[in-house]
Amino acid sequence: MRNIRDFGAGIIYLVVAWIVLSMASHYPRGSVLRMGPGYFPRILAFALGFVGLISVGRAFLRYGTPIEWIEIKKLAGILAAITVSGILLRGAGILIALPALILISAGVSPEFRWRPTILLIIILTLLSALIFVQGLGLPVPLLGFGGN
Amino acid sequence: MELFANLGIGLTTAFSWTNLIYCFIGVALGTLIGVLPGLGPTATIAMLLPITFNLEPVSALIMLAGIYYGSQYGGSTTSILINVPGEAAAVITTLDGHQMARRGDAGKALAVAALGSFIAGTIATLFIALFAPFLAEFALQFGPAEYFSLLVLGLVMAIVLARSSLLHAWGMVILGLLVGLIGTDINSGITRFTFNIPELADGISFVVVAMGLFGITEIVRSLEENPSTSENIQELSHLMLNREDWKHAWPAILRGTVLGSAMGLLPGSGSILGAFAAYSLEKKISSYPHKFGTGVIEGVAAPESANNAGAQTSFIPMLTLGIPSNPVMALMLGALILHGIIPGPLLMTEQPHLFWGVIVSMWIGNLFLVILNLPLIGVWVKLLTVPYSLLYPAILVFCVIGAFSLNNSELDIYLMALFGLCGYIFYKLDCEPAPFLLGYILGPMMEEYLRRALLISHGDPLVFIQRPISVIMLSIALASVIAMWLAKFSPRYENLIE
Repeated sequence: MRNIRDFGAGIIYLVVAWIVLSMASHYPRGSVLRMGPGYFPRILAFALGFVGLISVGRAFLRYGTPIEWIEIKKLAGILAAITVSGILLRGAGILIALPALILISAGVSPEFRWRPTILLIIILTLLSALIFVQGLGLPVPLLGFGGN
Repeated sequence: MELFANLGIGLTTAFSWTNLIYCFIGVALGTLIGVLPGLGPTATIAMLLPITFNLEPVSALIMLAGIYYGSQYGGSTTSILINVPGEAAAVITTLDGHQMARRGDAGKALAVAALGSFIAGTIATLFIALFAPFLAEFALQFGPAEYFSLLVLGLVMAIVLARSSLLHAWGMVILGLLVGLIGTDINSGITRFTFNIPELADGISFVVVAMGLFGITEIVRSLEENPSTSENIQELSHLMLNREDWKHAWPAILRGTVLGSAMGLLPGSGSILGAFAAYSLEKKISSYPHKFGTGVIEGVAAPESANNAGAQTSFIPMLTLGIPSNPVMALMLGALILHGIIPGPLLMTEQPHLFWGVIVSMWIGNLFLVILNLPLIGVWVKLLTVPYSLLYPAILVFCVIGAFSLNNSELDIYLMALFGLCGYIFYKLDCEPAPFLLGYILGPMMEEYLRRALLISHGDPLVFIQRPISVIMLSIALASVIAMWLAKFSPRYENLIE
């Protein structure tokens, strides 16, 4: 293989095209005159599959630059922080969810230091609780006890 | 004069106290976020979208427009002072703007950027008022076939003008179109591609897609690149331009405005083309082209004016045809649709207050921009010194609360993370997210127009090449694909990209 990017993207196109085709087979296709809900998705899936084939084929013909280092820790940290805050938001309340979000995400940075982070947690959490929950009535408990 | 009557409607709408305040808040917030390094207009608007949801449609659009040019100007500030452009179009400002700053003329560069933007904004507003009614009248002849072809043209333009590979731009558009189909099919009532998640029956909110693709991805990217914000900030000099500066700047501002206004109308182009063209033109007609890149004032005045003029005229195709010409307009279109307003040729006659109010408010917004920026520039410069390690957790808090508040549902938070992951993978594979977003927003419309066109023509697909306007648009689309493909083989292409 000569171009990892073309190959990777091509595989994504092919997989998505395959998923769409298999799901769209459950939707009525209809005719050109009266297109059913399965008609347009099928056209798109075939087009995407075609693009995917070219992309994978090209990956073996043309040289490309390698993908630069992926820092999985930073990516995973940010995504985890968002997901955890989503889980905690209703269950534990905004006063738990936001500090968790800030702490996990800030911990990813190489410049992480405890003192400014804690200060940031206090300011942001209190401000958000005041503005969004007390002020704008966002339906989230300040402190929850599990359950909704 | 119809023109003055129209502008009159706009003036009364835009000068109401509420709209003035929202315009001001928008410009201030936009500048505030846009000045933060690495955050361009698209990410800024995506992040701030949720706060406009509870407003009246007019106020929401006025505020969003304010955020747009506020963040664009904020991006110019970072380009000039620390050489970090917030978006592609601002790259050109860094060429001479940052050189001016290093020479000690940062104040002059910022002043000419602000004044150039204001003059360009004023002229572009008049241009819109004159030009938009013609376009809307023209668009009244459009049937479903024409609309479908227009959407194809818009998407093809987005593909052709993508910076990365053509093939992946196609792939991204189709992926976006497919994701746009998630939810209930309006004709049959069948829910499609929802993976049995009931919340997905209404589709995925485009705010979540935009915040994930542009906001979250941007944060992870910046973290990998370790931006050093507190270094390299240039000292501010006095802001006044002398007579000599003006002599060089004002013709450049006018030329930039004309080029930018015209380029902004092109579907798929955005402001990058205008800024690029304006800079090249100045360099070409200058008597000292070799000095460009060392900090000449025309090199800042022209692209900045073009940028701003293009930003305004790009509203015309969005409001009159419903075709977004760049990712920012795609966000605006999405916001309007969320408010239950479908932009199109009828918008101007059915909602004159909205249409003209927004147009006039752009001019007011540009005025606010000058007022806010020139005296307060010291405050914005202070913001540049906020370390990124404290900034991005705050942005995340805003994104999470914003996503949740859309439907009061955690699912939107998880989806935002998912699209953040998608955006990161796209980035690593050199696939641009902008065509994806355009496809995502236009997907449902495209399917609907295709359906209607074929229903009217009794299933005859030739309808797209039998109707003159439709065939012209499809020909342009085809011609640009071929032209771009041929251009890839010419050696000059590489230079153009640079």
